[in-house]
Amino acid sequence: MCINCTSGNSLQFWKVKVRINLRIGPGDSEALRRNLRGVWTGPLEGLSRRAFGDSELADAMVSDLAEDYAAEGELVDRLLAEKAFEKGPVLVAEGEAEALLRACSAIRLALREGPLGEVPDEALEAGEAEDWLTGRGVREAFACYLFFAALQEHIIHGLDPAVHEGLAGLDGGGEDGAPGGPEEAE
Amino acid sequence: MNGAASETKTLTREAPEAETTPPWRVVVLNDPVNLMSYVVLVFKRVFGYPTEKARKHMLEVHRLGRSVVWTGPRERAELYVHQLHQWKLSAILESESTD
Repeated sequence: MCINCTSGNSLQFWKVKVRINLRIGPGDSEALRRNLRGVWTGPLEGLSRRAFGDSELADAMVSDLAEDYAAEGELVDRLLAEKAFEKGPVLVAEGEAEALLRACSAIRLALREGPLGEVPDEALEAGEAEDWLTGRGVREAFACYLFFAALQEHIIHGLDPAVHEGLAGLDGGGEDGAPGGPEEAE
Repeated sequence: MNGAASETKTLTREAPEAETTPPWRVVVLNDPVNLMSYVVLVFKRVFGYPTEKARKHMLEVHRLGRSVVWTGPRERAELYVHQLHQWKLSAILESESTD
């Protein structure tokens, strides 16, 4: 999978738009969609229950999270179905960019719980999991994992470039081995 | 003095719950998935922290495994925990009274 891009934000019609120029190859959108089937779960539901106990409040919180997951999943699926990242820069409104960011995290958490469950956390964190990528399914899941990390990096750069300042070089400098780091904002 | 018993009234005021109950802590736990930059952005968005403060808390999470990112009344703490869950961070509530 080839990932390369520049990202930034621009004002259009008085609304902040985030420009994501994250290109993937022909057919990669479908491969990503295929890998997302069945992984779209709510890994934080348990944590929500733990935080709020077994109460009506907890039920409301979990239900709210489930709605978020569904909306974020639809957004990702729509962009992949439109092959948006194969065609060129993707322009999204700020709120949509935030939803996309959260979706990336949800997907990565779900991949870690599912097909990447055998990969040690340290290898995932460093983005160096080759030794554990034994089958095609796991390799594709890992590529998917890295794609959504790269997508997050570019959205963050578009939303708030200051976030990345000072992070390079921390604890070895690795940010999950996310490929195709953002370049200068346009 | 005219002989009438003088009355002394003691006025009591119910203190708001926030003043009487111990504060609650919003704690973010480390996970191997979320990017450092993402965690900084989330702290900025959810709490309105400046970049430096957000980065300090992110590094605490990364290096120590947890960071107390906010302390205050329970109701607001619950709201923050839920917002952090919406951003897919591992967050829990802790009462200072349990220390």
